[in-house]
Amino acid sequence: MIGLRGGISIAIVIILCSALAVIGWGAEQAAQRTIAPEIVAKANSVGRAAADLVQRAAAVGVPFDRLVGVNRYFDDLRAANIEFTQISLNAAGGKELARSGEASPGGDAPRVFVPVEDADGHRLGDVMIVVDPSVVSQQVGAVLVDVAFIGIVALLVALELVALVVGTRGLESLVAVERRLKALKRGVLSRQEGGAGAAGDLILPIDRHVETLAERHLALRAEAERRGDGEAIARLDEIEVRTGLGRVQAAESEAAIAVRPALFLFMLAEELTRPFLPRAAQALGVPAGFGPDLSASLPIVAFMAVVALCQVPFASLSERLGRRPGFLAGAALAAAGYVVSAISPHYDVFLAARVATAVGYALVFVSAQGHVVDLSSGAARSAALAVFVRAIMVASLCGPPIGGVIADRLGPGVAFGTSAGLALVALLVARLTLPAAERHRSVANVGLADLKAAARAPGLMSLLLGCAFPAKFLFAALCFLLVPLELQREGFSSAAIGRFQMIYPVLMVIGVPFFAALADRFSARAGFVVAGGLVSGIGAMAVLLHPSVALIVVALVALGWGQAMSIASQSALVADTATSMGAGRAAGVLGLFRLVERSGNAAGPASAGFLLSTLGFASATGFLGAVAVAGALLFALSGRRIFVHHSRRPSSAAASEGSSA
Amino acid sequence: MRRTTLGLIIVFALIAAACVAFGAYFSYVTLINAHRGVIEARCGIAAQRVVDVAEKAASLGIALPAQQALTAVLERETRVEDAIRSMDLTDEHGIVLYSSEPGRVGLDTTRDNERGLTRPVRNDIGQSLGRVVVRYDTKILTDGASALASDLRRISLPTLLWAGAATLVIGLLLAALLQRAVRRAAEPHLWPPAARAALASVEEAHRTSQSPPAGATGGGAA
Amino acid sequence: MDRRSLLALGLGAGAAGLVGSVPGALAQTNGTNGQPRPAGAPAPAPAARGDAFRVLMLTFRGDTDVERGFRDYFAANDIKVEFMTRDVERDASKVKPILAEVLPTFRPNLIYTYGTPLTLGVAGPYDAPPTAGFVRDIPVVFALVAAPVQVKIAPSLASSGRNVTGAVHVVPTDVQLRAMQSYKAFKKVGVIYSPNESNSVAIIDEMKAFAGTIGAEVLAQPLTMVGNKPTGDGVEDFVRNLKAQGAEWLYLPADTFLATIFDRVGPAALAAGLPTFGATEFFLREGLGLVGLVSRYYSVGQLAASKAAEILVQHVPPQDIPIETLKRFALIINMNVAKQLGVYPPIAMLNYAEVIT
Repeated sequence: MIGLRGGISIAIVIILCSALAVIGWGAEQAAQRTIAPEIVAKANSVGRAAADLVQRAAAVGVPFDRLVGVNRYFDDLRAANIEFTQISLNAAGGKELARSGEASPGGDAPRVFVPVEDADGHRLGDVMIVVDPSVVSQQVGAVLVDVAFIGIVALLVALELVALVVGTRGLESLVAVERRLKALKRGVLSRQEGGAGAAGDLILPIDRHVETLAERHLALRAEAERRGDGEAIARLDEIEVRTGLGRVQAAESEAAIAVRPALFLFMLAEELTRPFLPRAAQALGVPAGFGPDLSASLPIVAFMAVVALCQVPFASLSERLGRRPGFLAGAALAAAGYVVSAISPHYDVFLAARVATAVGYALVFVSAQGHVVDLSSGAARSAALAVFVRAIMVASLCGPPIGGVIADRLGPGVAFGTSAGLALVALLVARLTLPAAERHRSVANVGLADLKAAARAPGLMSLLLGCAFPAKFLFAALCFLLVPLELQREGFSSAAIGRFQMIYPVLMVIGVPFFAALADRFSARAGFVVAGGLVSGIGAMAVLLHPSVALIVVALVALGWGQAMSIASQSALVADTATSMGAGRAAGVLGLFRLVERSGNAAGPASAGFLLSTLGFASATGFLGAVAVAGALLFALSGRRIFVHHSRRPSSAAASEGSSA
Repeated sequence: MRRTTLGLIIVFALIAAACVAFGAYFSYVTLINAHRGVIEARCGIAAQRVVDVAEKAASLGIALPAQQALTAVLERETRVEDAIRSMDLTDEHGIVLYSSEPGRVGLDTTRDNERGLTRPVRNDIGQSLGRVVVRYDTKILTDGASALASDLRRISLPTLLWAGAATLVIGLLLAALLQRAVRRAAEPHLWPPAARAALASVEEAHRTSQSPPAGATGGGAA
Repeated sequence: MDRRSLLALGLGAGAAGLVGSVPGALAQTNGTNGQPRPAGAPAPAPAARGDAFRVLMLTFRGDTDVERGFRDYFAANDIKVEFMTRDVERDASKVKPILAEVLPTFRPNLIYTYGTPLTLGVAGPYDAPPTAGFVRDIPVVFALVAAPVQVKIAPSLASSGRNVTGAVHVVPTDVQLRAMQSYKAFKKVGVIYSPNESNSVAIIDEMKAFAGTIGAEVLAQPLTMVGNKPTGDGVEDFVRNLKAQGAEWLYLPADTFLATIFDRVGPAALAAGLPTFGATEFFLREGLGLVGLVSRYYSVGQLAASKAAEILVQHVPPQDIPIETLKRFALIINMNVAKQLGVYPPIAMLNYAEVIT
């Protein structure tokens, strides 16, 4: 049966989808009414500019019927204004002298005529521009794509809010009831842990029945044992296995994923800054000795580098502090960092604030991850980590467009302020949801020696350096620096850039489970890792062909698709290696994996900043793509055989943070 | 329990409504940006033409302060493009040198907090000489914004209410189902089929294991 | 582009060029530092003017737009400079006596030179012996030197390695050929040059390199040599031959000797129906050239001044300042020639071209 919570989540998805579709339709209507006339007015302006030029040619003595390069000029105009289907120059007699494009005959396409006159004011002819209404609606359609993205964001935010509500302790009674009903539905008669007071009346009858059965069962078994009736014992044991009778079913690891809402909110705070961060850094003035590209990339690089470097030391720090205090301290520090970023007038202070935020971010991340690992084990841990990763990915999906809009509408200062607010809300939520006192289990600290030992694992380094590192390297360089800066140069707003940045996480969210299943089915993990690296690298290299927005989208799509193909398999391979290394070394392997990924994140924007200033956007992107391709090939050549023999383990994105920083 | 469920459903309804509102607002922002983009593209064409004139003259050695003809150029561009309210040409410090509004000459545009469109004027050695600042008619923008806002409000308010109400209704329905399931769970004969089957098999196993059939034991002994 | 206002501005500039000194409009900008000074006025004693930089300007043929641009730059950037201008009246041998007279009294912070002969006269070639008596201790900023590397003013454009830097006025050859290409595409381009001028020979090589990239061919026609000197003998035949060989353009490089026979080349090309692309403004205005891409002298002066300002204000050593050309050039079209040839410019070019009618 679908519980109340599950049911209402599905209901909300359906309701919101239809509601947002209605909003989208309304947006299209509004756009047609308000924006379409403006496009016609723009056609008028372009027409006047063209007519002026023709007049100038006439004035300097070019005969009106011998104008040169008009078609070409009109082609350029149309390339710059895609909403014009046709631009033509007609002589006064009606003869067409030049034309670019072809409007479909008839129809109600808006047409604009601008007369061309000679010096004495005689009309020589006119420039005609046809605005294609379908192109207008295509433009509106582009707006609708935006609206659809917004719909996805709204939906995901809704689901996270639902998860937040569901995760609160006030719902324990409901959870208790639903768990019992679900168990019955599956024919499970085990005793259920946790019967909250408020729901006592409701669950008591069920528990009583189950309890009675269990007691009887126990008594019978004891009796049979006493009797030495092996047949009866076997029968009773069989029924126990089948129905769970007499067993106690532990509460699902809700405690482990209790951190999810707080983590989601915190990650959202950081993701908000993505689209406008490079621009905000540049706006503070370029420090002496820095190019504009370097000054844009340095705060990102510093952030990533600090996060990478803090991974290993913070693992033990957060354990000493306790997960909850670690999370709270990190969130507070990050919030302070956002506040300073918001108000800092100086580049240096801004940079320092970003570093402080990075320290907080690393602490929060490590604490949250530690919390999940502490409170779960085995398959439940994998599932809990997957939930955790999902929260991060959803944050990276929703954050950039929202942050972009806030920055556009209210300025980057307010956007940073919003981040600070979100970090504080995350802090409060964490205070409420994370258990205060934790059992301090002694988890082996990961030290340098463990990393070194891990590095010797067969084939691991070629996987990490050939695939894990380049993947993050390319991702961070492209999504955090190159694409925002290039699109900004092309004149896109922060909000639009944020939506471009969504392409990657959307594909990840869709693609990871899909490819994970495929990779498992064909037991071709290494193959998927290599193919993913090639796809993402070649996508980036495609930008070299003809740098354009379309190819940037291609690169982002290839990146998302390629990473989705490879990341789950990568994680599974790493997890296999960790398992094969034995219990003591597993932490080292995972720590090394994380460190390498993080280093890729840090190195990506750093190299991109440098490459951008020396090679330019297209070559820098192509180069980074080539690095990814080379890495994948290196891994294919060196690592393949080693991994083929490893045990099977379901691929999941658990061991990697997917798209997060 | 009932209170918890009801509270939960109301919270969910509010979330649904809030997300519709969020979607509507962001759609509005997107449309406003698109609207402003079109208007700015239009004004940009005019601004660029003034920049071309100023740059060409600068390359002939006529410093911006000496390009008296620019006032006429600015006036003409402003007249021709009805979206433009006024157009200034400023020096690199933002002081207005020429303007389609004579009264603005000498003003410091860096103190204008009004949003305008600017295009830099550069000389042949790549240095910035000044800027063309277009102040377009914000009424066009605000009119467009309010038209968009009212259009979207008209569509999104009912949608929002509907989404909230629908969530509420479905929530109550699910709550009723839950209630019913709980009631039935109290009576084993009303349990779901799987549970009843399990129960039956348990009963069966228990029955057969309960007291060893005398015959069986006796027979063994005999 | 507003045609009338542009023409008005263009006429203004032309008039300014004719007057050849600071026109009234510019005195206004000069006045921003409160001291408009006519060129060539005797400078006050340096001691009394400690706050202003002293710049000695050596001109070749009186004040031109280059000097105008040079002085305007300082005025526009509020840099106080005291100029002393001396003209050699087209005789580079006067440099030595002028320096001997002026240096001890005016003690300039910087010397400005116009053209190759004056620059060599002041700074000498970079490999001259230290005893040769050239200025080595005062920064020298030149303008309007076509090929500083070929004439040994500097071993490379990146750095002179000594107290010299400046502004080159030559438009890079590939930029010129691209402009030619966008006016009217070609597969064969003819060029006439003096084989004894290393600068011209270098340009022919650059042309061939560029033509290779677009699949075009260069028909290079050296002028007739008598001994070591080129002559104009048979140049009209050369033009007709190039046309007969299928040349679609005639390119005229910045060749010193060729410049003296423009009045023969231009009409011959026009008669043969061969469009001409010139590297100098003079050819377009006086020699019946069709089109050319040139540096504005005013802007060249400004570029030189920007380098002088770096030296004076920011104390950057001249050897650390690269020798550069402009970022943007002027396209000039002679519409009368275009009409006679029936080869009109593409309309988009009129957005940025200056048209001579």
